[in-house]
Formats: sequence, C-alpha cells, structure tokens
Amino acid sequence: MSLTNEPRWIPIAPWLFLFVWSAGYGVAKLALESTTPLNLLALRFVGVALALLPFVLIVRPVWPSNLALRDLLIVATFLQLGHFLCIYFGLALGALAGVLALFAASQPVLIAMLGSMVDRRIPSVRIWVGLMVGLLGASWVIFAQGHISDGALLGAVLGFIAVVLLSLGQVYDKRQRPECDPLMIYVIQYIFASFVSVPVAVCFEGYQTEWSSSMIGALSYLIFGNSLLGIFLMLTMVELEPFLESRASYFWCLGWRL
Amino acid sequence: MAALIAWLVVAEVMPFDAWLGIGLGAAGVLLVLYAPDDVKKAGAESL
Repeated sequence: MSLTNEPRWIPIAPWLFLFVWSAGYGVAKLALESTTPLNLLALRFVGVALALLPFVLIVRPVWPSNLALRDLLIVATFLQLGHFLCIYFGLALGALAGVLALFAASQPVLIAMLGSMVDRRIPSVRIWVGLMVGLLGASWVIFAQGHISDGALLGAVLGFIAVVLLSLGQVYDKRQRPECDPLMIYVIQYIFASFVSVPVAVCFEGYQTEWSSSMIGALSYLIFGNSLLGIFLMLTMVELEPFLESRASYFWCLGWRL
Repeated sequence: MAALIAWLVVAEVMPFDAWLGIGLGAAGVLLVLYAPDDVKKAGAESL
C-alpha cells in the first residue's frame, strides 16, 4: 500500500486505537463473569484465528522462513500467551481494569529500560526518573483503594508481570525483526496461541463457559474490536507513520507496534 | 479511559484519590516519550 495523501479519518486513528485498546480491559472483565481466564484466552485466540483465515485465503501471503517462524513463535509466547494470561487471571482475581491498563500504559518506559539493559548500557537518568514516577503512580492507584483483598493485590502484581512480558516480547521482536508479511505475523501468532491455550484450558479448567448475551457480546468485541480492528488500525498507522509522527497521540500508541 | 469504560461496562469504580496516581503514571511515561532527541536516539539504536 502506498499512500501519498493523508486519508481524512487518519487523524483519529491513534485515538480510536486507544479507545479500542482501553475498552478491552473492562470488556474482558465482563466476559469473566461468564467464563474462566483460560477458557476466555482460548476462545479469544481461536475466534481471532478463525476470523483471520478468510483474509489469508484471499491475500495468500508468503509463508516465512523457519528462522522468522521461530522468532514469531517466541514473540507470541510473550505477547499473546504470557501477557493475556496474566491480564485475565489478574482481572479474575479482582484487580481493577484501570490498574492493569495503567501498568500497560507504562510500557514505553519499560521498553526503554529493557532496551538499555539488553544493550548493556546504563539507562539514562530520565528513564530512571520516568520509571520511578510511573511506579509511584501505580502504587498510589493500588493503595488508594483503601483495604484491598489479597486477590486484588496479586492481580495487580500479575498486571505488572503482564506488561514486563509484553515489553520483553516487543524488545525481542524489534531486535530480531523477523521478516514476514504483516497479516501472516498475526495469523501465525494467533494459531500458535490457539494450539497452546485450548489444551491448557481443557486440562486445567475444563469447559466452563456460560453463553449469556453479555458473554457473546464481550467475546465478539474482544475478537472483532480489540483484536481485528486493533490490528487493522495498527497496520494502518505503521503504513502512514510519516503522517502521524507529528501528532502527540501517536506516541501513546508507539509501544504497541509489532 | 480504561477506568471510565470499566465503570460503564461492569460498574467498577476507580476511587477518586486514585486519579492522582494515574496522573503520576502518565507523567512518568511522558518523561520518557518526550525525552530529548539524543536520549530517544540512544533508545532507538539499542533496539
């Protein structure tokens, strides 16, 4: 895709992406009222993989090399499996959706920190100060709730682990830069995540899903809104990066690029 | 935004005092995102 003019809707793309991403936490909590964390994880991954398959049949992207495939699976283990596993268990344990989103939003700080550490450089003072201020804010949010249960506290810790896994996956992805068609990246990652999460869910939780209207709506949003629309917006923003670089809102989305 | 949507979707209330912490968290991220060019360049090169 080569675009020379900025499409009219592009200025709102970063904000739409932020909305789509932010809503994922509350909607996942709604879904968890009707199912369990591993079941939700498996249903989401299978749903997205199935929804992406028709696009693969139409576009017929090139299959990546074995080396790129290995890198994609490693990234998927961090980004999809590890990250969402921690988020869904954290929410199920009682952590506030806003707290987990706050941790996730601090991802650019962690990426800068991990990038420096991987490169064996001491992170700059500014990065340290950013991390400290961010952690202070997160601690404030957690303890401002007054008396919190052990489950909610453990859930918040899982939220922090989730963003660390997410950052590790992104740092690995940016260092290795596996060469692959963008659509194929997501298809491979979601199919792999499905093959891992379904047996794990069946083994540890069994099938525990109550198909209420709220569950169907929430799962539909997680598949078509949070995942597919999110992927479309992200790919579009990457494609139109020169148009968006000057916008402050875009920088909030930078950390989510694959 | 996530806290507001969670309030709408599952009636999950973020305590008023917590918003100061959210502001601090945002400040921490902005400190890194809007770091001077040399700091950002060093970060980008490391990746």
